[in-house]
Amino acid sequence: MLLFSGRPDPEWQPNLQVIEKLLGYVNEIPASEGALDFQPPLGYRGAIMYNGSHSITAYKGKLEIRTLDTAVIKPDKERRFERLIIETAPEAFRSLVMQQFD
Amino acid sequence: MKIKLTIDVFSGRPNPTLTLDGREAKKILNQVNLKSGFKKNTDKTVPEPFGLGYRGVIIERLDGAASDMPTIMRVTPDRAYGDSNSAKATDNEFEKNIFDLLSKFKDTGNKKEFRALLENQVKVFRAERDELLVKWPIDIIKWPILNPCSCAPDADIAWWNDGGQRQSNNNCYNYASNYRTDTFAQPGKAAGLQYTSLSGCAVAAGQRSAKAGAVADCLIDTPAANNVCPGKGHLVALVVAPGWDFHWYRKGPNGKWSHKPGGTQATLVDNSGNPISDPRTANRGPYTQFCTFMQVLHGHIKIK
Repeated sequence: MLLFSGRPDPEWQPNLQVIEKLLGYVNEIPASEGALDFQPPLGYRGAIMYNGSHSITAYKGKLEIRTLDTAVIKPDKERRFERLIIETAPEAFRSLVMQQFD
Repeated sequence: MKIKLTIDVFSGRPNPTLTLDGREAKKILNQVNLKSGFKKNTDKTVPEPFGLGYRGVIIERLDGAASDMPTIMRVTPDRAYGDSNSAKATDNEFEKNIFDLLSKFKDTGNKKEFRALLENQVKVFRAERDELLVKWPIDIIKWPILNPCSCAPDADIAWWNDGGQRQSNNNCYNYASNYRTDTFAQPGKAAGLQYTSLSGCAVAAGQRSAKAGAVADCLIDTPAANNVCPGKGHLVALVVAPGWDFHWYRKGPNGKWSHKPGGTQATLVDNSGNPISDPRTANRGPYTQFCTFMQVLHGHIKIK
């Protein structure tokens, strides 16, 4: 979760079922044009799922799927992917994010 | 009685030292021939040697202070210095007595070569010192400060934003203090006095704030700085998102502010995408409390 500045950002490992669900969802969506919206420097600025070599950043209705040398944008209708990640976050962080989720 | 003698001559290498006790220590102290008692230094006092090369002999009392001399004292041919005080000394070739003990000193390297080097250094030192004594006190010209932010570090965005270890392991505190630790530094952690509460700029009694942590790291609280750069070092600003986080900004040589939110990229803009001329009025998102301006003296702080 991209959330803090001074403190380390919260990181956690969702269970395998959630990961499969998220990846299945992303694989079904076709790629689109564009880039992620402006992420404000301070406060909540997106959720990232990563495994070392791949990352998926979700922010305001768009997904950015990155590998070491590629970046693909996909739509995230109703911020489904982003919400799913947030739902699995530890409670203390989830409530902080929801205060800033617009 | 126990003393440590240091021949202050090197810059990079450790200076040669010798520890003496008992009668030998007492003998050395008796050889320091002072013409006056120690008095507070003033602008007119001939300054303590500061250049490269021989700068005198340092005597450190290892068994506590004496009433008539400082615990750590630098002895030169004309003056002895210690604790912002000094006393006139008689040029009684004090160094010669020390150099006679050279064979017992540590860290001299080849003793013969070192002695030759030292004797030459002392000659140069005495000649330069004599010149200085004739000229002193010199009228010091105070130049006006043209750009008070000229000592501030550049934003250096590209260097911090390497997209790798440097960017992800250094946060707003690292960036603001211009001190890379690769540890996501926390205020007070290096001093063993890390903040215990982020409830706001001020915290409950018994708790430690982010500001108090920073002060423990040797940042200087300057609440009245009013967005004006200090004469030395650079200006930073602390803000707090009450209950969950702190954040820092730093002021650059052009007077503009920059910041590095966590492990993300350092940036010149605020949450509205505008350049930051004053962090008190910038869009700071959830970091609603402006705590204070602080001064970073380069080389003084320690963060972890």
